[in-house]
Amino acid sequence: MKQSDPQLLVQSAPLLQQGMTTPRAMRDVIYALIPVTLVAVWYFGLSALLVVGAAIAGAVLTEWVFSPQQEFQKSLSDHTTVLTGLLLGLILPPGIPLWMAFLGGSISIGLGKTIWGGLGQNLFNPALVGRAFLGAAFPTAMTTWTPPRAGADFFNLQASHLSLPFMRGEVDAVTSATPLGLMKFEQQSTPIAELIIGNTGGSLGETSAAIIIIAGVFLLLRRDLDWRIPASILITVFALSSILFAVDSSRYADPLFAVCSGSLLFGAIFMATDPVTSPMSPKGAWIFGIGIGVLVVLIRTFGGFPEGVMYAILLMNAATPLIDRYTQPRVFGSGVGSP
Amino acid sequence: MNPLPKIRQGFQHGVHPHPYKDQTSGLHTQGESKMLIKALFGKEVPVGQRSRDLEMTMNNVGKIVAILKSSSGILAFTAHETARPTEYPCVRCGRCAEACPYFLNPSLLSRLAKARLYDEMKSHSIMECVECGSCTYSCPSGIPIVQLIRAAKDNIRHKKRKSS
Repeated sequence: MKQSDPQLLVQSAPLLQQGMTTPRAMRDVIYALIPVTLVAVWYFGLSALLVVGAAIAGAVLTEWVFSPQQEFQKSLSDHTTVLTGLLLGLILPPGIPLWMAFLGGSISIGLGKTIWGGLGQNLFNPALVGRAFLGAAFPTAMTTWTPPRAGADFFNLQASHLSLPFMRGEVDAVTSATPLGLMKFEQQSTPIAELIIGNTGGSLGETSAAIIIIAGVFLLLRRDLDWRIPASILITVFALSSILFAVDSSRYADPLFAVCSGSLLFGAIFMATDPVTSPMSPKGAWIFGIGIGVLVVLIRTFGGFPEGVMYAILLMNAATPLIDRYTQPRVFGSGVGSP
Repeated sequence: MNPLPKIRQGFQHGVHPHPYKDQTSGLHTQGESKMLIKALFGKEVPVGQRSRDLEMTMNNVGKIVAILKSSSGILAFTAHETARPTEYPCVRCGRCAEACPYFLNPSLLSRLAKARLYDEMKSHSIMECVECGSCTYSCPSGIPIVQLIRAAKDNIRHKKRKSS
């Protein structure tokens, strides 16, 4: 009888690993975004699914084009490509032509990730790179908001979806403004209750504060994100808005409105917390979050745009290597005087 | 039970507790001597110095004979437990830096090790690493961080020996 050799594997310690893995963290974020997507479908009908689907398709196809044969499977298995597409889809206006959403997904992966050297190497949040590109290239489509329909007219597609590339699409008869736009240009506030349930105009996934907070709590409980980043952003925006509101309550929004409106919650929980583009140390996370909060309030109050979360996060992304450099922890035993 | 507070209190009042085996066995979990000094006396052994420079020595109490660190026990794991996980790129989550007892930046060190930038690793205090392995254990991307650091340290020592 032939005895089988014992299988010996020589490894260098440590041999064990805690259970958390990078793909699991990314998958958790996708799970957390599913209810957010469903709320978007409730308010904007089939449009939401089509836009998100087009963005994901653009992202995955670009990943496929730029990956070596064997690498594609692996880069899909870490879930980041689909996640980037999904995130991008949820920050686009509901009525955007589908080819633009597709192009945005493609830019997100191509210019946001691959060109830097793949996952973990990029300086800027890929989904926001895609959105910034679309905002610069198609300013009209990116600021045309459709009113929420709250469950009605599920199949009622907007004609603008199917417009062909570089053709003037049909202009929708019904448009609306976002709560921040109303605030900035018409000094008209939106009830907080509407902002909480999400029954307002805005990008697909960012209208409902309640569902975003629930998704954020889920991610916190799973330890998938650094709580310091959303906490410092929201505290900073709340504090600065309170000061402005105290100075002139007729011109500036009240702090609760400032926190619940626009893409602030979505950005703070899903965009700013991307580990690749945010600082590593806890101290760095606070600086990063406070910086975003200050920039958001500055852009919203004194800038030309009603919303500034995207630019605030991108600017602080650029500052991240610098923050990392100055928040290196002090090595044990260094800097203490010799006895 | 954690015996540390009791012992620390003893030292502060000038009473040296008896090195009872049951009382001190918990201290093994603190592991390394510099960590133990920090836990008991709140003092950090400065970089490049030894505990003796603080007029302290750490002995393995309860065991009079010096034991070989490398043969202190046999651990039995299943193949499933010890399987190397699939390695993904570093996403800079910072869990390794959070775990490092010497407050190094293992993420940066592993990147530098892969690029064989040993001089740069030295300026990031690689020689302070005690190879506890907390970084590899905590890495969600399955990067063998301490193994990379170990190999780099060997390389640095080897170069030093050659040049001297």
